[in-house]
Amino acid sequence: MIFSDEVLDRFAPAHAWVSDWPDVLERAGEGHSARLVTKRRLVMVFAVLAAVLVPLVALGAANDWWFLKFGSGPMPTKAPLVVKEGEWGGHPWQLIAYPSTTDGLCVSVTPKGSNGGGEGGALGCGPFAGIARTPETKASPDMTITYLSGSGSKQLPAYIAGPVIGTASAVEIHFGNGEVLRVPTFAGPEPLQHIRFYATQLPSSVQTTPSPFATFLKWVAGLDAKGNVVACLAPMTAEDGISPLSDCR
Amino acid sequence: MSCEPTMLQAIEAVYRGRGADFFRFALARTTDRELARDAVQEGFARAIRARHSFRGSGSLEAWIGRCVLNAAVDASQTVGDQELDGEADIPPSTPEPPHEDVRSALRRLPQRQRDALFLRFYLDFDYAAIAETLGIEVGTVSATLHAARENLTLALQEVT
Repeated sequence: MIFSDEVLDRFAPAHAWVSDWPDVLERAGEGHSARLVTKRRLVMVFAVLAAVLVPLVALGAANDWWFLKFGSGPMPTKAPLVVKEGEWGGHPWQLIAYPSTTDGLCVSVTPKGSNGGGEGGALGCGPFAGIARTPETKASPDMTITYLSGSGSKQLPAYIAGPVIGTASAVEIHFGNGEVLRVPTFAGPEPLQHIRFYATQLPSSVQTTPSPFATFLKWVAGLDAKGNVVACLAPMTAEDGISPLSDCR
Repeated sequence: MSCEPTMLQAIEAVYRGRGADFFRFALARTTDRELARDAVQEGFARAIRARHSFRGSGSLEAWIGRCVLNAAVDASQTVGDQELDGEADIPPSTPEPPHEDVRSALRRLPQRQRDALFLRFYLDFDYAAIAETLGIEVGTVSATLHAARENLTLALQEVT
């Protein structure tokens, strides 16, 4: 066997990464809204909801939804829904969303037909406007827009996607290099029809690898039909995933 | 205005922007998905706890990289010193297990060479960042990486 980058690429493949910033804060003792659910409690919740979850897991397996098969993502309260399917550079993907028992709305970009491994996919969750809270939902405030992104892999090129409140007909993304991308939103299926979503491949000129004290994304804003900012997230200044609208102007 | 929130937000920005890359690095280091995930979470938590000690003289990512690397080492030792160069490997829980030849070849590399290679490949660190993460001189990084690639090539030829 000859050494090449492919050897290392296969050694630690680009598995779907589930970010969980509240867990990091909790471990650091910084969580002013300490996460309500620990792994142990998740196990307890799982025991209680096992009867409900079995068909959900089976559903996940049938649809290659890695976040259900591996138990990586929060438990769904309702079956995950395919919001949209598409193809980026010949790579088919699905945008999936579901309300969770602990983390609000979960949204995932998942490579379609990846044998369930989810390589290149991502999952992000958080309390979101219009998503009913459960007693276990973490205490942080409802977001009106958020994002998840992938930095590019064999399974999927770099992308950005996420949910936004229903009044947003477009999303404007301002990148760290000064580029701006405006993409239309699309409605979620019932019962998420009051939430809109966006998903787009990133231009190759956008660096998803941030330099220190910077991020590839300056801000992402939801715009109504008249072009007014109705939702805003500026990651560098946001608190609990919330930014004032003025941060996106 | 306190600079503390800015530092916390900077760490969060690295986490959100590069979490997947740090996960791959930790996965290569621990060869176990759960240990790798725990190492990333714990590494970033350590960075937050120790953020007051970050002097800003180097790369924040490299400083976090050191936290994650230390957490990965601790995580591996917690489960019985079954690190990559230990007597027993942790059975990989990845959907696509790495080829045993690669694992065997990597095991033959000195730890520093292996870490330098992983930092370069999975985190795309430059020489300065690799040096800072590993606590070595910048001038030795190039030679370390060169040796790692040569040794890995030789090891792969021997095990196949």
